Amino acid sequence: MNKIDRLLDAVEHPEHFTDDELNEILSNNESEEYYDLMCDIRSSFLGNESVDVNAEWAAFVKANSEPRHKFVLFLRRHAAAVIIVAVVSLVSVGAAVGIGSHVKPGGSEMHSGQAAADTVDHILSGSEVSTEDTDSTAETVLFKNEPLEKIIADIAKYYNVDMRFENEDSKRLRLFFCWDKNMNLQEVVEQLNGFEQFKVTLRDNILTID
Amino acid sequence: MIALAVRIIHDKDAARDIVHDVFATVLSKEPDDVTAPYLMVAVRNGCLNYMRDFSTRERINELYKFHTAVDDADVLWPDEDTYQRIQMIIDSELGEQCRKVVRLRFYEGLSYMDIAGRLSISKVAVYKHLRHALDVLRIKINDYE
Repeated sequence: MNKIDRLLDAVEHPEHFTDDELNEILSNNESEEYYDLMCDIRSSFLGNESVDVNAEWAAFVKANSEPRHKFVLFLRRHAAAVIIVAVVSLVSVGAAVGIGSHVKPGGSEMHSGQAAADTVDHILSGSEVSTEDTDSTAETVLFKNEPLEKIIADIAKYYNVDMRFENEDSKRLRLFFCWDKNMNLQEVVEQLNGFEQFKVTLRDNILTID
Repeated sequence: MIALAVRIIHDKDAARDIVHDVFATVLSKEPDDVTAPYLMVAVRNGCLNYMRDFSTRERINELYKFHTAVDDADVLWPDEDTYQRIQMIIDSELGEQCRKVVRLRFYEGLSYMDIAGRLSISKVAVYKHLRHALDVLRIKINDYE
């Protein structure tokens, strides 16, 4: 068995070799070169798949949620790069004190979410990842820590539809959301549904928020 | 960032965890401290830490490079040019059967026995195709350099 065949065996069944044998196989310059080549071949096949950014953010938020309040980072980088950060309280602590503290502008409860939003905003606007400025322009509107009620009201007015909140608490959710007016209403609804804390449906020219 | 991590550690789930950890760390920092290169280096370092716990045997099994000491970190940085060349050579210089063997082995991660079964060839033939592919790639890549 030649050196390369031995290396091929070692790669598939390293358990068949002792540590000394593995080290001996890899200590040979030619074998090491072939081994590195195999590593590169494997790498060249991987990492090309597109990443579902929304799903990644959803998983990230789920893994990093805090017990009393949590933030949601929602990032899209398709035709329009969108940066959205939602700062919400847990529904279970949505009593007067909890909600009240979140509604207060600049309240301490908002601080970590605000910092998160600013951080992500800053990173992406300064890197090649972002493809579009996130400042408000004639065609994009950046809601910064605005109540969902205001965001939906503006959107509904622009697209000339009505809105209905099924849950009063949802009105008070505060979001960072970049709205691209070039998108149609259905696309905007899909973006908003990237947030886990509420669901928007469009039916008969009425935006319903659950 | 996930793509970078996958290039290094060949495991999408682990890559995702590493990138999430980087972002979790980033959120506690001042915005001015965080740049795109910072993020990429953080991902690379996360991969190094992840691989550090692997034994020699485990590294070989996962096809991890061994240049994972801090001094060698730049060696580990994915070389996109090389990856493109590899894919180009696979597409243009290898026969169809050989290309299939390479893909089944290095993309799908099948064992030599499973590849033999999938392509209705002998295990010896799988070795032969892989040897041939490695020889061709080694020569052609060196031609570029």
